[in-house]
Amino acid sequence: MTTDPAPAKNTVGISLMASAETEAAIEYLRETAPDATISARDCFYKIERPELLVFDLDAIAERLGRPLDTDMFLVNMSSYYGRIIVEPGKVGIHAEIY
Amino acid sequence: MPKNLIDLHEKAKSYDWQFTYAEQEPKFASKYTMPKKGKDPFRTLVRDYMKMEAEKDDRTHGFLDGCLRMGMAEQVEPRFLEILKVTLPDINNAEFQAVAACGGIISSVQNQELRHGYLAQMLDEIRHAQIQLGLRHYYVKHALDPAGWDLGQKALYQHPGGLVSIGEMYHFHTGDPIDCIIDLNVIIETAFTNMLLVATPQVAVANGDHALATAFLSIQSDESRHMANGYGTLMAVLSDPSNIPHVNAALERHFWHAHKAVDAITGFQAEYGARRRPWAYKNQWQEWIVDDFISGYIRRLEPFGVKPPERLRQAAEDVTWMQHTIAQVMATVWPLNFWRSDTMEPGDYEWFEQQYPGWTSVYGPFWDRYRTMIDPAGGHIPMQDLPALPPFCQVCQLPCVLPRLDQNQFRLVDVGGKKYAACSEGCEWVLRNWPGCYTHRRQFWARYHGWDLADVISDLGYIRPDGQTLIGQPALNLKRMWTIEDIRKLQYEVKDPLHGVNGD
Repeated sequence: MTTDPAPAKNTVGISLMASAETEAAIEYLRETAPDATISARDCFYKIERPELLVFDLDAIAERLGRPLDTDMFLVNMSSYYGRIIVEPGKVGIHAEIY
Repeated sequence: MPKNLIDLHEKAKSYDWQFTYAEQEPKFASKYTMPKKGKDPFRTLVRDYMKMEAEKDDRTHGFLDGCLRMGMAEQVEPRFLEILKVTLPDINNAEFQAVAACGGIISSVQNQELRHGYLAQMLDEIRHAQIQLGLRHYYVKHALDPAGWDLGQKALYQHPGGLVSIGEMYHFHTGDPIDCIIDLNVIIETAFTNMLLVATPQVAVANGDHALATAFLSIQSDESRHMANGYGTLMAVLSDPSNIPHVNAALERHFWHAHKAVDAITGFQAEYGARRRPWAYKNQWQEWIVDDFISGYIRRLEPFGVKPPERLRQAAEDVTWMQHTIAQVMATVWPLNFWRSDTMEPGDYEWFEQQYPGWTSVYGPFWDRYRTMIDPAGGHIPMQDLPALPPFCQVCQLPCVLPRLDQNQFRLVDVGGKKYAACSEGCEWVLRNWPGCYTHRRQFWARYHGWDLADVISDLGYIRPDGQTLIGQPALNLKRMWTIEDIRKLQYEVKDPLHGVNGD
């Protein structure tokens, strides 16, 4: 019997390039999602969490010190896995695939 | 007028029409059924898209200006820049082919929401090509050795590595448009570009190339939307069960081919272009391909009938060795390259052995011997050590010595009474199932069978502006570089290893 080389997992992830917006987003996550795993990789951060990652852009803007809309947040998003939903003022990544 | 993004997006989708005055005839018919409704998770609108991309360009090009002010090109590890001479045009080729792909998809896919996403993607691909050309312009003007950067695309398309690139990337726009999307958006952009455009920037930073890191991460921010295009298309076609077998066949085929073509070049760049290596390729592959793409995405589509690639385990085993073998081959054929190869030194040996136990016994003797042949005064090149040149695979165009020379899976495959080389069971499977896509491809060695190596290099045009010195060199910082006359003195004749197998 061989082990499954890639069993299904329920975590979601996002890669954000290093920037002021990203630092504010990380500060926000440390407060609102302390169970998220944040891995610094020199020029970008990889962030993973079971089931759900939510970025409330108004809350991140408060930490950034200037307005931040969805488009400007996405400027920093290099990659993700999971199901992404982009809405006004909010970006969510869900493990539920559909 | 609606102001909310969701309402606006819904309104934009309603501006759709059908041809009434002519029959729409896409270049390639599709065997898939496609529902009229789909999902673009990003809800892309042209107005918002332009704002976002303008910001990205301002940041990326602004950073390149900063690199100029700080003289950063001179601080890049020369070994890293040399391999970029082949890998950056290779990526540029992918962008060019992806532009064509989006045109084909937009004209083929009768689904307005998905078309919106692919319209933005087409503009993205043009943007990526422009950023990469901007990077190449920066390197050709500021890199310490610009030779090779000036030839770029022309050099790539004549090189065996260019044939690997063309062989993979033409699948973006040739054939069933949904198969093309599964290759481009689902396999390449959701899985493999993470290795190339997210993980590799970390290697670039470690080796002083912050310009490349910034440009690649910005490019990949667009790929995120392309992933969503692939997801939206996949979910649309999976709504009809009759499409499921086609989806699984396309996933199997293109996962294997992409693994071969992209891992060869990305693994080679990341480990042999680096002097400081932040990670091992096989570990990154486990993270981005196996854990994120397969476990976090494909496996979660199983309730819809999607199956993970059967050859996943083989691909994962391959990346323990294949990039080392590619580096070995690239160094062996150094006179045919348009970049300078570099020797591997004791510090490299130590890292490789630590990350890939057994590396020293397999590859150490090669690099030991290689270092004895770098001086033109010695009058010997590694190609002369070979009993025969390695045939190239008819499918992936990689040399048939993979995953490593002593474990190679080379086989001759009979298709329609004619024999073709295949590097692996996976490529043989592809060749047998889609012969019409591959059997017409001509091989590099066949083109030059019976030629003197010096004449081959002259024909390729890989010579520096003095008309004598080769662009390709076996090492960096040679006291004297090899010239075309040094090669001519060797009287080395290129022999196609497949010459005569079909009675020709």
